[in-house]
Amino acid sequence: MKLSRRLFISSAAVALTAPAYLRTGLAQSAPIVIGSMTPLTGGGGPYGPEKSDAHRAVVAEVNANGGVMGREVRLISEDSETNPEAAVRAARKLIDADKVSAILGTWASSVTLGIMPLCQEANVLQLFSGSSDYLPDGDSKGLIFNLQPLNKAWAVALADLAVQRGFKEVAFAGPKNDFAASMGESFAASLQALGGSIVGEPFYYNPGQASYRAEAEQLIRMNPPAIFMAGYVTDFIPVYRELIRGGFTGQIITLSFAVGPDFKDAVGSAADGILHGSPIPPIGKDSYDAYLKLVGIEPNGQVQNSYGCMAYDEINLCLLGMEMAKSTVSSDVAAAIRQIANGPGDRVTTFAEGKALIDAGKPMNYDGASSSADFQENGMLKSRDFALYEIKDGKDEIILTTTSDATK
Amino acid sequence: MDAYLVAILTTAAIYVILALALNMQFGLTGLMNFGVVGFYGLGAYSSGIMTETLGQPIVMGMLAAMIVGGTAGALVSLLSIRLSGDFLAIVTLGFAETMRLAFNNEDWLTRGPRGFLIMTRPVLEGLGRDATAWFILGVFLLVAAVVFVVFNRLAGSPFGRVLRSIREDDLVPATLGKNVLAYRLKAFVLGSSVMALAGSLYAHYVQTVTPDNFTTQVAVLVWMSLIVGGAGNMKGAVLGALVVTAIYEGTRFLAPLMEFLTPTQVSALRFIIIGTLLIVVVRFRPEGLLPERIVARPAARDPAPG
Amino acid sequence: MSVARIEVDGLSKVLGGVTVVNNVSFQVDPGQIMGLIGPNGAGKTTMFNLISGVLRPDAGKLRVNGRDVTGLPPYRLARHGIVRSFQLSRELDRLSVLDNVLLAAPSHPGETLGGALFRPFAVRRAETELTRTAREMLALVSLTPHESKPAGALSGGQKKLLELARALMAGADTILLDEIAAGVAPHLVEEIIAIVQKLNRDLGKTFLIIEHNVGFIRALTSRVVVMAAGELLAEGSFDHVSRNPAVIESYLGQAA
Repeated sequence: MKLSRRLFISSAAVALTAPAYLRTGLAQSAPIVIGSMTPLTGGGGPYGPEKSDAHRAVVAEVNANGGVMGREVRLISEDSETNPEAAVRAARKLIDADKVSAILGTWASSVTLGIMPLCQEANVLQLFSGSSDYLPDGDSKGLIFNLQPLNKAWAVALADLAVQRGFKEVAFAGPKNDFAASMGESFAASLQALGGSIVGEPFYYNPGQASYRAEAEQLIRMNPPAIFMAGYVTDFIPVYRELIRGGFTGQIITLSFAVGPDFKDAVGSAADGILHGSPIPPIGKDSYDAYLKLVGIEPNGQVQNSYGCMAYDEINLCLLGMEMAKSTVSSDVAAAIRQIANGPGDRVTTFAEGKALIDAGKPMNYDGASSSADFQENGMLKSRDFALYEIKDGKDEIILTTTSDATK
Repeated sequence: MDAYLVAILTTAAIYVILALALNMQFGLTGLMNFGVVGFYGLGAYSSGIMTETLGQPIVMGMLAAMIVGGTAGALVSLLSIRLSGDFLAIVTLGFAETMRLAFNNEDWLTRGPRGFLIMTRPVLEGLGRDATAWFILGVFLLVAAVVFVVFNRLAGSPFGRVLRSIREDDLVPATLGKNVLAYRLKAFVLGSSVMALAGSLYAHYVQTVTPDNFTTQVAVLVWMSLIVGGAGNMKGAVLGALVVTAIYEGTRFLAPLMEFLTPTQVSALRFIIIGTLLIVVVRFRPEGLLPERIVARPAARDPAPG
Repeated sequence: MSVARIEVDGLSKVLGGVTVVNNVSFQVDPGQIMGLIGPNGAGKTTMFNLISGVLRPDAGKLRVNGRDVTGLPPYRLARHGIVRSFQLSRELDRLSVLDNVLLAAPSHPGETLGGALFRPFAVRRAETELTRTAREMLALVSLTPHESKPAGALSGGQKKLLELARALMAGADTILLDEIAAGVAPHLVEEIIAIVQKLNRDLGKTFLIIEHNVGFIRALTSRVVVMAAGELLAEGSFDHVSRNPAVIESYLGQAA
């Protein structure tokens, strides 16, 4: 054990004496430590880096302009590995060794839920993006804020679309995971509220299989006029292929992230006719463009970095909350975030703008890059924009945009 | 930092227990168990169901875990007991995968991917946050110590000698009157029930269990602990688990030393380090840091440990 | 007439489509030292495997001390008082030489799970006594200086001696020795002959010996059976069968 103890102590000593923060010339008082836990490896690996980059870009800019409460902000990045077991260990390090006041950036709902008991116990704030309907259940202290709409909201929007296009009988299929499970329940409920119904029972298949022929055959046998499929692109492509091969001619409705460029390349013209929808960042909005430019991306009128813009809002809200509360105590900060996000007050879109208002003693309403960032009591969004598309000639043609009201 | 070290030691204790159990199966008896997480997860869920769904105290949960884990181990080894060792490896792999799917799909029992929330903890009520952490660490270390003492004694006893002979050659012990199948079964069940016990402790520690918590990565870390530490030697298993945990957690602290790398790269680097360690050990010291002791000490006192 | 230690009654075995043992019958009486000889490939080791339960016969019966033990697994046969050595010596490489011998001790209280955990005193006592006995066995075969080494480190001849020590330690009434003299230095072969005679004379142990070494067979055995191509060719004293033309012919296909 001598070896590992030496490793801990020497690493910790070096970390503490790292001169980085001295260079920014900020006050020598203790820095504000915030944890950034994103999926850098594992299933969410494609989406973690853009979140991590957003956090770091904002922190760099804030520190260059005087920090928060005149103190430097120190961001500590950890990899959630898209796995709750690994994430819990990383969270322990952030909470107990680094003593963070908040953990931002978790992406997989299982990870967010997995670290929630620790964060709750240690009174650590969590800001994240996640869609599982079970997320609010883990919080009893009002310390969570979610920048993504819950499955309920998606389901409402998509059920609406289905009914509008004349499909009242829709089958539901999805992988057996957290996301699809709650999506299935919500979709069934929404459809029913609109006078329709699910065909048979929601059908869950095991993700990560080599072949989905059996599953596709089962769906075809049910003979529904339409199927709503809540899969990720890795299982959606093979299942869809088997459905087409099996001769399914009904309507497919799905979520946009399942039918991106990879999907269209894989199935070619067989993609035409698919209806899909997803929450979208407000394209063309000034705050969204500002975020893109901050991380060095040129806005092109399409959906870009859909997770990064949420991370941008996570860190802005967290830092503004601390600045307004003049404290890092999580309950104070949470209360401040609610005021900042919901208003009423003057519109702000960046930390600098918000700080100016705080210094002037005026109220504000933060309008985010990913959404208007208005929260309900339980920390979930009040509403979010959704866009609904049809694939025509291999391109997504927007049919309508709707604002899904999660409070209904 | 103290609280973090306590947390790491607590996790290390769990891996120590898992490594000791695998050592009983593989290190001593040569049984290839690639289904470690299956028994681990089975123990976690059994214990959770016992305490949360059935409202029993935590000791009942731990007991339930051991019984379920032991029974599963008996069934798995009986399935393959007449076949060669490679078949056990495949059967245990299949078992772990089946368990994972069962955990995921039987959500009436396990809450599936939603996660099973476990409120019962191995601790007395009313202690503060720090004291709770220390208490839990104490409980885990106690369990690890008991498992170590029992397994070490078995390893050094004539029973352990028979196991090791079975590992070397399954014909010779048979012709000397040893019921090889019975010994294999006993070794496997001892191992699987203790793995389930580790799962029980884990579940009551992290308090949310999802099927995702029981991945191949856990099994890989346990196997690594055994290989690095020294298969066949109980002390080696303990050392191996501590070393692997130390490297896995210690490499997190490299990040501030490498500001020039992005977090993604640091994360990748950590895995490279861990993988390199394994390669180096297998190449230069395949018997592990604490190899198995071959020499029997004269039986003036206890039979030799190791 | 006392009951035969081993009675082989019409045993047959087919391996890979080839009839390796074909309807062989003979018996070994108590106190006898019997030889089993024949050219290579005659099925001698297969016969040993059948008698020790390593293989199950396809036809015929096996009786030990009058009891029908056909088809029993090796560990059960061992408890009927049969122990064997192996032609290609099978050492437990990573166990010490001493441990290899100790393993052979029958009914060691420490070998059960319950005993190992709950009866430390009984186990310790047994281990001490058995270690003393094991050391005597090792001394008999002149392996004492190697007691603490891993068995895998022994030379080929030494491994044979270890096989013998282990067989003796098992305390069985009937000992099957499969080419125990092969690869052993001549002066040790003499010692082995002396040991076998001593055990036979003083303790009444019965031996069935597979061997190519003519001197060994002639010195030790009172009776031999000859096998060739899976069949029993002849039976009788060594001098008698060595004059049997069929026996001579079966060997002519081999170097002497």
